[in-house]
Amino acid sequence: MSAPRTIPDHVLDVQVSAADPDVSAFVSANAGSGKTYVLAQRVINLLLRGVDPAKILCITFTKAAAANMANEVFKRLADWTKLDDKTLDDRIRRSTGGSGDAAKRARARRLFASALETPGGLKVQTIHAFCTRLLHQFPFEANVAARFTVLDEATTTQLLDELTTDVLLEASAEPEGAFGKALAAAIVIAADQTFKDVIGDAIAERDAIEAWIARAGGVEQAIGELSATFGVAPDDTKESLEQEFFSHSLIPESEWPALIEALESGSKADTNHIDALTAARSASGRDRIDSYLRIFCTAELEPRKNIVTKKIAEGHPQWFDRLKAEQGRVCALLARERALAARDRTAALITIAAEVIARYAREKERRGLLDYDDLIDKTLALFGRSSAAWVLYKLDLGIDHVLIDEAQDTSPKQWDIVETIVSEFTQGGARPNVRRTVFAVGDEKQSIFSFQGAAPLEFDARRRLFERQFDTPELGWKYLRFHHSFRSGQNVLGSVDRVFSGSAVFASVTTDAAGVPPHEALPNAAPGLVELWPLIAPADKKEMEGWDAPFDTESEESPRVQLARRIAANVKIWMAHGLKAGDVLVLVRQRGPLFEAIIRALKNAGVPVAGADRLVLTEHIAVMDLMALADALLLPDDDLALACVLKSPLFGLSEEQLFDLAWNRKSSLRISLHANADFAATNSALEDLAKAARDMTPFGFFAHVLGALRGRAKILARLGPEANDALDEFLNLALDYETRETPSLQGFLAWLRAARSEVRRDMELARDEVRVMTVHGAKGLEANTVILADTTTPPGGPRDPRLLKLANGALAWATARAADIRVMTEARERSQQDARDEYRRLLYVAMTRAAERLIICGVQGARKIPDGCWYQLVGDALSADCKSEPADDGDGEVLRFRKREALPVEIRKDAAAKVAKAATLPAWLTRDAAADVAAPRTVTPSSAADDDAARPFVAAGNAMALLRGTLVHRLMQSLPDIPPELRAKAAADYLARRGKDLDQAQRDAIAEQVLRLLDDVRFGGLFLPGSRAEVPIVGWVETGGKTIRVSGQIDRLAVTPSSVLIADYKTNRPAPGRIEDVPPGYLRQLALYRAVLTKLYPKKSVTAALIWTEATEIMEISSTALDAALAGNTLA
Amino acid sequence: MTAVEDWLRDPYTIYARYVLKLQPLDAVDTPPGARDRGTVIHGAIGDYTAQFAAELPADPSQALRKLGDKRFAPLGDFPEARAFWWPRFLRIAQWFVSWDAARRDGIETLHAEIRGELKFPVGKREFTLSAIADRIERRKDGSYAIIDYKTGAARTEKQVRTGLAPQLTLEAAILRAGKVESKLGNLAPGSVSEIAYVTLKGGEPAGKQLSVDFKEGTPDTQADHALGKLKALAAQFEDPATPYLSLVHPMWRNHYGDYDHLARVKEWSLSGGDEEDGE
Repeated sequence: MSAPRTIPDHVLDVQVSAADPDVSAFVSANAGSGKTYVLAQRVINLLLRGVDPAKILCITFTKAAAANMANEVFKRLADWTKLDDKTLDDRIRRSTGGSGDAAKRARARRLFASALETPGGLKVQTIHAFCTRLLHQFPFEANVAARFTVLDEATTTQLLDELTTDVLLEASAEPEGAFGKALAAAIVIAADQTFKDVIGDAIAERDAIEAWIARAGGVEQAIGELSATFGVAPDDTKESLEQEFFSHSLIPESEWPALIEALESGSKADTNHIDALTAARSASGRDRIDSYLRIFCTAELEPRKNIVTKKIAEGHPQWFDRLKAEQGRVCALLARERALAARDRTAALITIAAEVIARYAREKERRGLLDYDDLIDKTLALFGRSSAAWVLYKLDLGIDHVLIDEAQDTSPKQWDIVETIVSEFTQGGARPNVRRTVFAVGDEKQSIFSFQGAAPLEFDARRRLFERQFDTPELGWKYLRFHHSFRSGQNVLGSVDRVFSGSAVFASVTTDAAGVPPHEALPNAAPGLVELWPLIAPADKKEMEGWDAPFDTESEESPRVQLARRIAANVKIWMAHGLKAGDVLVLVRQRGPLFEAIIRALKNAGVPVAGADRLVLTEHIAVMDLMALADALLLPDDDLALACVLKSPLFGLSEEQLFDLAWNRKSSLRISLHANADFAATNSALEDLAKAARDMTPFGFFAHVLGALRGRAKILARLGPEANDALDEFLNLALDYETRETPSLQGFLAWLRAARSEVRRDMELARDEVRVMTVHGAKGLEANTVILADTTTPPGGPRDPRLLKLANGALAWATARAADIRVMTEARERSQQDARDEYRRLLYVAMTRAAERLIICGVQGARKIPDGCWYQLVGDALSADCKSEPADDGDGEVLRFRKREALPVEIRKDAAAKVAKAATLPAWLTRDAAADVAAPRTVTPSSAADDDAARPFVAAGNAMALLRGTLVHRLMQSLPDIPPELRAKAAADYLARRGKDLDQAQRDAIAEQVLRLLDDVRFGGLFLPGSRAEVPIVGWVETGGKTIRVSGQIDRLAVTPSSVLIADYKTNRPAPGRIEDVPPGYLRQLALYRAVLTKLYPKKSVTAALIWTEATEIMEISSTALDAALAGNTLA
Repeated sequence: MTAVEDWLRDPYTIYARYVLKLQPLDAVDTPPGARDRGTVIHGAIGDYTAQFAAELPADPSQALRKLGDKRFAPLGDFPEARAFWWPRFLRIAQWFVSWDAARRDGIETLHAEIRGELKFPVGKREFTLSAIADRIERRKDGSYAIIDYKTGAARTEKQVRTGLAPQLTLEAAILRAGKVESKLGNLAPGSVSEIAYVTLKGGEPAGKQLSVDFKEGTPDTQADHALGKLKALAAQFEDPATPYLSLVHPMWRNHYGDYDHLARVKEWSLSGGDEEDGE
C-alpha cells in the first residue's frame, strides 16, 4: 500500500466535494474508499473556516474509532505546523479545493493548538458518551439521578444474572405461585442452562418486551393476547386438548369394530390401521392418542396423503369420507396442541423475564445507575419533554456541525437523537445567521452489527429524510458516492461486483434498486488476483476403531486440518516470494475448530502468527499456570495444581522429574518435594513464594512473580510474545480486583474464574504476523492477501433464534422447527432472511479486506455444501470467467479470476503435473534473483517504489524529478488513447493542471518529449490505436529444463500483423543511458514476457523495450540481450 | 471401567491418575454443575432400583421421591440447583416408575449397582477388569439385559460397537465369563440379549429407553470382540516402550479432561512439534 498512486482528478474532486464544510452531505461509500479520511478532512476544513472546535460534534460507532478519529485529526494538524509554505498550500488546496494564502497558512498552523486548547475541545465521541454528557448536564430535566453512574456491560450482565437467580429462587420456593408455575412449565422444555440462556435472550430484548407489555396493559393481558394470536383459548390445557381427541371424535370407539371390518379387505397399509386401532383400544393416556394418530399421520405427525388405499376408498366411500373428516379434525387438534405448548412456554418465559426486567429497572433507579440503552432512551425522553425546550435551545447554541461516521451501524433510536439535534439547523434555530451542517458517511453494505441494534435499512431512510430537510437553495445538500477503492485492485473489486450483481443477492446488501454501485480501482493499483481453491472433502470415511486409538498416531486428517495445512503451506510459499507474514489475513465467520486448526497449522509451519484475536483469559495457558501456582500455594494438598506449576515455565520440570517426585510417594507431592534433596532449589523457591503469597496483595504477588522473579521472561521464552497480552490483562484484573474487594489471593482466584474475562488483542497494531480472525473483528482492517477459509457454513446466523419476534410485536419462545405454528414460521422466516442478508454483508466486508489477492477456500462435509453459502455465491458468480491454473503449492489446479482478461496462454498440463509431483517447493522459489518476476505480486509500475527502496535515499531536492517522472508516466499511459491530433492539447492541459509546480518551459519540454516518444517510428506501433495499456499476463515458460510461472502485467502491448511490441515503464533516476547499466531484473522480466508471448504468437517477432520516464527515452532491448537474460535467469 | 475409556481416549489421563497419583480437587465453593446433577439423579434412581429389586413398594412414586429427597439434601447450600433440578427429577421419577413397572414383567431377578470382574493373564501378570453395572436384569428366558442410566446423552450404537464407548460390551463380557457377585450369590455366566441405555433428562419426554441395536452381530459377539480388543490393548501397554500419549484421538484433540493442563495441551497443540509422551 506504500506505492505512490495516481489518484484520478475526478476521484479527488468527489473527496474534496464531500469534505466541503459549507454544505450538508451524505456519503454512501464503498469499502476502502477513504470515508474516514474524508470525515477527518471535513473536520479539519471546518476548523480552517474558523469554526470553534467546541461546536463540532463528531459521532463514531465505538470508543476506539473515536480515539482513532481524534488522533487522525490531531496528527494532520500537528503535521501542518511543520510544513513549509508551499507544501502547506498544497495540502490546503487538496483538502479544500481552493488555493492557500498567507492568512490561511497562519490559521492552519494555529489549528493544532486551538483544537487542543479549546475548553471542551473537539468532541469526537460515541453517541453514548454524548448522551452521558448531556444527561449529566440536565439531570433534573431528564429525570435521572443527579450523579448517575453508567453501567458497563460486564456489570450489567452480572446484575441481570443475580436478579434472574433471585426470581428463580423465589419461584422454586413457592411452587404454587405464578413464578413457581412458570418455572415448572419452563423447566420441562429446557434444561437449566438453556432456560437461563433463553431468559438472557428475553432480557436482551427488554425494549420489545416492555413495549409489548405496556401496549397490552400488563403481563397477564400480554399472555392473553398471545392466546388470541396463537388461536388457543385462555383456559385450554394440555389435558383438555388430549381429552378432545376422543371426546369429540368423528369416529367414536363404538364404531371401531365396524371400521376394522371394513379395513380388513385392504392391503398392508390398511391393515396397519387395524393394529393402530387395536393398540389404541388397550392403551390409555398419551399412548392411546399416539396409536390413534398413526392412522392419520406419518411418524413426523404430518397428515398422510392417502389415509387408505384406493381399494378401501372406493369400496367403502362413507368410511373414506369419515376418515378424511377425522383426519382434518385431529390434525387441527395437533396444531392447537403445538400452539398451546408455544403459548405456555412463552407465557412462562415472559412471566419470569418481565419480573427480572422490572426488578432490574427498580434496582437501577435505587442505585442511580443507567445502562447503555437508558442513556439513549432518557436522552430521547428529555428531547421529547416540552419542559425541556430550553435544553434544546442551549444545545442549539452549542452544536453547529454534526458528523457521523459508520452511519450504517446507527440504530433507529440513535438516529432519532441525531435528528432532534439537527432539526434546529434547518429552522434557523437559536442563531439564524450561522451556517450549520450535518454530514454522515457510511456503507450499508457493511452493516454487520445487527446484534448490537444496527439497522441497515435506516441508512437510506434517514438519508432521504435529511435530504427533504436540507435540500433547499439556502442550506444546500449533497448526496455523494465513493466508488473508488484506495485499497483493492481491480480483480478483487471486479469479483465483488460480480458476486453482488444479481438482484437476488444485491437486495441483501443494498437498498438501491439499481444494485451495488460499481467498485473502481485506482488506475495504477496492482490488479491482483482472486483464487478459488477446490473444496476439501472428507476422505471416504473409514470407521474409527476406538480400540486402536491409543496407537493411532496417523489418525485420519479431517478436511479442516487439511485445509489449515494447505493455507499454511501456501503462506510459506508466498513468504519465500517476499510477501510478509503481516500481509496475510485469514478470515473466518466464527472462532471454532477451523480457526484453531489454522493457527496451529501456521505455527507448525513456522509462520509467525498472531494468536486468537480474542480468548477467555482463564483458558490461556500462561494464566492457567499462574492460577495453578496460587492454587498450589493456597492448598498445599492440591497435588495436581502443584504438578502443573512444576511443569510450567515457572519451574520448568520435565515429565521425568515429575515422575521421580510423584511415583510411589507416600504423602502429598508437596511433602515429597520437601523431602527430595534433588529438588532443594525448587522447594525453597516454592517456600519463598508461599511467604510472598501470604504477605502480598494478589497484584503485588503476581507482579513479584512475573517481574522480580523473572516469571514473565520464562513464560515468554517458552510460549512466545503472544502471552504478553494475557499476562498484562491478568495483572490489570488483579489490580482492578483490589480496588473493589478486600484483596485476598483466594478471593481473586474465585472472582477470576467466575468472571470469564476475555482478552482482546489489537490486531491493527500488528506485528509482522499472519492474522487469523473473524470478519467482525476485521472490520476496518485490510491486508495484501486475504484468505476466506470458512466459506461453507449455512447462510444465516450462528444459531437458530430462540426468541421469535411476531408481527404484532409479541415474542414467542421457539424450540424445534417442527414445533412452530404458522405465525412462528413466518417470524422464523423473517428472522432467517435477516440473518441471510447479514451473512451476505459479512461476505462483502470479508472480500473487500483484500488489497491484491483474495482466496476463497473451504471444506465440505459429508453432504453437499449449503445452498447460498459464501463459497457457492462466489463460485457461481466467478467460475464461468475463471481459468483453471496450477496452484502455487503445486497441488492440482485452482480457479483464478481476473476481471481484465489475461492473455490466453496455453497452460501446459504436463508442466503443472511436474511441479505437483515434486511435492517439495519448486526450485525457482528459493532463487533470489528471479523473485522480482515470478512473484505472485504482479510487476507493475508501482513496484518502482521498491527499486527506490533499494537505492540511496533520494534527496528532497529531487522532488521536482519525482514529480516529473510521475507526470511523464501518467501521460504515457493516457495519451495513446487520445487521437494523435488532440494529444498535444491534452498533454498541455494535463500539465497545466497537475504540474503547477513546474514552470512553463519545463512543462512544454515534458509534453514535447512525450509526444516525440509516442511518434517514434521504431515503436510507432506501440502507441497506435488498438495497442493496450497494462495487460495482465500469465503463462509458463520452459527453459533450461525447468518450468517457470510468469505472472505480471505488461505496461504497453501492441500486436501488429507481423510483430508484437512490448514495453515497460521504468522510473529509475537517473535513467541508465546504456544497456549495460540496466538492472538485470528488468531484462529478465522483459525476457520472460517475451518468452510467454512467443509461445502465443509463434509466427511473429517479439520486440521489447524499456521506457525511461525520467529521461523520456525509449531503449530497445536486443533479442541477444534478452536471450542472455533468460538463460541467466534459469542458470542462477 | 470408565478408566478403560480414558485409556482409549487419553492414555495420559491414566498415567497421571494411576501412575503419578495426582487427583484433581474441586475449588471449595464451586457451584454444582451438570456432573453433580447427574450424580444426584443417578443416585436416587440407583437407590430405588437397589432397594426395590425384589419387590415394588406400595406407592412407587412416593418411595422414589423420598429417595430423591435424601440425595438432594446435600444441595441445600445451592438452592438454585434445587430450583432447577427438583422439578425435573419429579418428572423423571414419574416416568421411571412406570417404565420400571412395565419392564418387570419380563424379569426373573433384578440387580442394581452390582460389581463384577474378569481376570485374564497379560504377560506374566494378571489383568483384572472390573465394573459396576447400574442395572442387570436376569430375564425370564435366562438371558441377561444390561442397562445403564444416563442423565446426559446416551452413547451411539457406533460408539459402542467400535470401542469408543466399550463400557457395556465389557460388562457383557464379564457377565458371560467372569464373576458377578449379587446378594443372591454369584450370577451364573450367561448370554446377554440386550444392552440398553436409559436416558433420564426430565424434559419432554422425561425419560427414554434406547436399546443398542447392533449393526453387526449380537450383544454376545460384540462382548467377545470387545474383550479380545481389550486383551490386545493390555498386552501392548504391558510393553514398557508403549507411551502413554496425551489426546491421541482426534475427536478429543483440543481438550479432554482434568489432566490437559498437566499435559500442557494448549502449549503443544498450538506450538506443535514436540512429542509429549508422558514417560
